[in-house]
Amino acid sequence: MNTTSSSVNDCTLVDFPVSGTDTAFLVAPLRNGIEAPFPIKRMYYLFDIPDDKVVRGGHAHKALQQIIIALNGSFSLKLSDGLSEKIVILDSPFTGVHLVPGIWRELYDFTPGATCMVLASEVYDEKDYIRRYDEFLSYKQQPNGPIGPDGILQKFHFLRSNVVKGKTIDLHPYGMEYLDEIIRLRNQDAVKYFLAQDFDITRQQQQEWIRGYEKRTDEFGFIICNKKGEVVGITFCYNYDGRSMEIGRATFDTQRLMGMPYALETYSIIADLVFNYLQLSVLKVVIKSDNHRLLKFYQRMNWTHTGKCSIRGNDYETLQVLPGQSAHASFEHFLDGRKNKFAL
Amino acid sequence: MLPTTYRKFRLPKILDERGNLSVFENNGYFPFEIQWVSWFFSEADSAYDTRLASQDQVVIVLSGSLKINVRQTGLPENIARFPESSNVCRPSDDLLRHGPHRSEPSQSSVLDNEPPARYVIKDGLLEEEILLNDVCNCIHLPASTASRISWSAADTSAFITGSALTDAGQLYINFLPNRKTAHEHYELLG
Repeated sequence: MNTTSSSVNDCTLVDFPVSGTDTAFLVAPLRNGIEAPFPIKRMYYLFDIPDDKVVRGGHAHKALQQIIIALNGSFSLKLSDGLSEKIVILDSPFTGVHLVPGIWRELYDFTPGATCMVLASEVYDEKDYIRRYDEFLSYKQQPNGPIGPDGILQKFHFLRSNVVKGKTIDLHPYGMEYLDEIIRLRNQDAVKYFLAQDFDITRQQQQEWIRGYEKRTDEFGFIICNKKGEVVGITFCYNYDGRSMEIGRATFDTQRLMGMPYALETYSIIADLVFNYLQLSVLKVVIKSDNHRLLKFYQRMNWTHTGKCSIRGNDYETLQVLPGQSAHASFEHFLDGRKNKFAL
Repeated sequence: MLPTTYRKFRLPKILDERGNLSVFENNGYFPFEIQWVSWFFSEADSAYDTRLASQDQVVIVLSGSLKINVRQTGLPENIARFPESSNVCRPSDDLLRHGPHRSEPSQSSVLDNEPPARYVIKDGLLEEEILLNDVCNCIHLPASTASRISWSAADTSAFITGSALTDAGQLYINFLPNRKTAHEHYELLG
């Protein structure tokens, strides 16, 4: 794992299998390389913690993985990846938190007599510690990691929480407040066909998907609204690999789209964001092979066909665009030709 | 096997105004490289038997206190004493600098100046009772040592680690329903 890009959502609760009697419990042995999520090379424990005002931790590790367990009593564990925070209350000797590298942690609210036990993947190495939070934030923005250059996760976060204004449309952050509109768009027949979705998505399924999206930090999605505030489509950027992203999961309201440049401007803005704001090198898309209309649309925007692939038994075409080949020019050209119509 | 093959020792205690810390790791001072870990927690008195024929184990008290009965064959005289000091538990200076709020840590050591443990000869076997009553106390039980670990204090917890990977069903850590009942059926394993 690249520790500069690790997220608090990568830190998970671990329930340990237990045997015993009514009053005595034994955790089933965690064997290195079998039940343990990493080879355990060190164990330490905190005890005689004086009062509930104490804060322990206050550091991050570059490579070390840990499992933190409240062996006696309870305490709170606050995790941060520089963007998001997560607070976990640990109060059982049979549940721990697996901390991946690159996560800032603080332990506090210790109950009297609390014992905190930590299993670690490496022996002690001071060089592995980051002990100042500003250094931690700098570390998470290193140019040689996926978070860099210039803190790309922060940029994703910005895009996930701000409106991007265009000329005929605005891109609003994708989220639960648009649930009804999202379901309406997703269940259009054409959308279902080209997304290979052979069922009507339910409210519960969509809510679960949105909750999953809200936990991910390495992608962003938009609700596309026209200037009247009507929802005309949805799109996402994902599969970030350090130099490229993929645009997709796009759905448009075919009625509201008719004769309007909403889709063209959407792809134009996305290209602008990917190349000029995020400073990436490639924008990719995967389109169902029989979606001739969309393939033609991308070709008009100067995208290059790069190959074919198969997803869940369906054939798809892969295309990409590089900086300078961006759709932006084609959108401006399109607008120039229709200035009167749109009265810009 | 002579009983002197087991060792009671103390982990370093790193004093800190925010709470104390004890630590062990694979760096040469611990008796073996950790291959598995387990821990137990008790709300009332209980006991468990353990014997790992092909591997060593270390038990560390994390809270409360433990009484460990080690049973093994041996000579009935002059054998119930802890071993001489050795280098078995000398952590590195680097490890002892653990954390920014450290104070001078207490050095870990083999407990070689304590009174002899209580022992009895029972059925031709030596049974020795060892008390671990501090959160830094540990005992290293070599392979083939049969032992019973019991505790009476509430909220006693301890950590166990072993030196070899074994099939899941081969770990030989067995809880007994309660101490008195278990004692009557106690047999030397193996």
